[in-house]
Amino acid sequence: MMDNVGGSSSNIAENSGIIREQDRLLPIANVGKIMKQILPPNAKISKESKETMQECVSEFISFVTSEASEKCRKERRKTVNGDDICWALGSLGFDDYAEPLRRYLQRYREQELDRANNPPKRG
Amino acid sequence: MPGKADTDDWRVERGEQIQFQSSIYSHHQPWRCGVGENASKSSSADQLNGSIVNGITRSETNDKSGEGVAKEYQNIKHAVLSTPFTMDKHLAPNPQMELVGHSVVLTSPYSDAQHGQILTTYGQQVMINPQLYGMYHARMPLPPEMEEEPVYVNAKQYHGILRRRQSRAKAELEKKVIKNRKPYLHESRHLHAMRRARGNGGRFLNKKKLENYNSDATSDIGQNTGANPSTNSPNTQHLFTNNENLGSSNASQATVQDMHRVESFNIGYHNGNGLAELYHSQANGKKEGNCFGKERDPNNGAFK
Repeated sequence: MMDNVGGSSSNIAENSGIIREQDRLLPIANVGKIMKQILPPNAKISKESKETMQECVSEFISFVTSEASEKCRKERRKTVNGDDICWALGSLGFDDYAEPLRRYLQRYREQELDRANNPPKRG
Repeated sequence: MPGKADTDDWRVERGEQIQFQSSIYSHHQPWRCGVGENASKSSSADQLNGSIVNGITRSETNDKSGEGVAKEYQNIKHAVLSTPFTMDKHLAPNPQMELVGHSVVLTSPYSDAQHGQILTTYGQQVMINPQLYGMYHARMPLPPEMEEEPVYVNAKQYHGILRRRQSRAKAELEKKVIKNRKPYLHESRHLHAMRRARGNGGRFLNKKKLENYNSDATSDIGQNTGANPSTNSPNTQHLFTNNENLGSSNASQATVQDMHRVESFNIGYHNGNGLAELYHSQANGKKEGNCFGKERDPNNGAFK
């Protein structure tokens, strides 16, 4: 009992001052699944590869998001929306990604409108 | 003749780039002139990256002229503002800094190939859009932190990279970033996995194999009666195997924290694609396993 209590209190103190792994990085299983989509069925991915890709994609998300957030800060807006992300990709030189993402965002909004106009029936 | 012409164009672009950089730094920061000199000294190394620079330079011809000029001014301002960041960086060096440079360098070849294709498609636009003076300096040297030589990055990403460096340095000072990864996230799940029966190669035994294992075994294995009957995917088995190999353990956690993390864990799974339902069912199975684990406590006490 005493050991458990001490352990839990130390964990609470430790967690309050630390950025947890799951808050800083994408889930490694999801990263592995996305990497597997582009590979042949019998290919294997080492854990080191997944961890390296996990670090890279998490940093890329923070990189693009900080660019979009800076734009919102200058325009005195608090919400970062999809258009800001597309603009950020373009301003950072990722024009090849910005255009497909705009089309994706357009279709996503059309889909949301369809859902709003035709709510699913209950029961 | 065409190859030779390309070489001449590259040399002209590099010369103008160096001149422009030296003029910028001479106006704002005297010590940045050294950076310019380093750039000129490393011209032999830049020749290797000539194709990358040319590719990125061509891609910028599609940009609007106004945005280009404004962005250049922003870069200059941010370069001036980055001076205190440099001092701060010396106090607390960030090990992730090289990752940024490395990832940026890796991005360039891919974008170069893509931009080559764009040139083929939009040849007319290239002819129509006049090249601005600002388009020649596609590469800007980052202020040197720990590297011996300056790292050249895309000019559009210059201030973004500096901002991210500040954010990481701030996180480093305010909070302690976990550098060593935990082998598992939840103590209770780890304990449950350690209690499960394993067969040859360290893989978990499913219900059928467990019955065979119990029937074949001469001694009574009471601890295995509460094993999770559901079948696990190979990935999950692999993860648990890694957990066993690492063998490290943390102190036990409060029940409230476990419940909170389980909820966050499920939320993470909901964000997945079609496999979310499968993992959700597995999560429920794991919860049931936890219940069995709790029930086993009196037995463990009896053994003690």
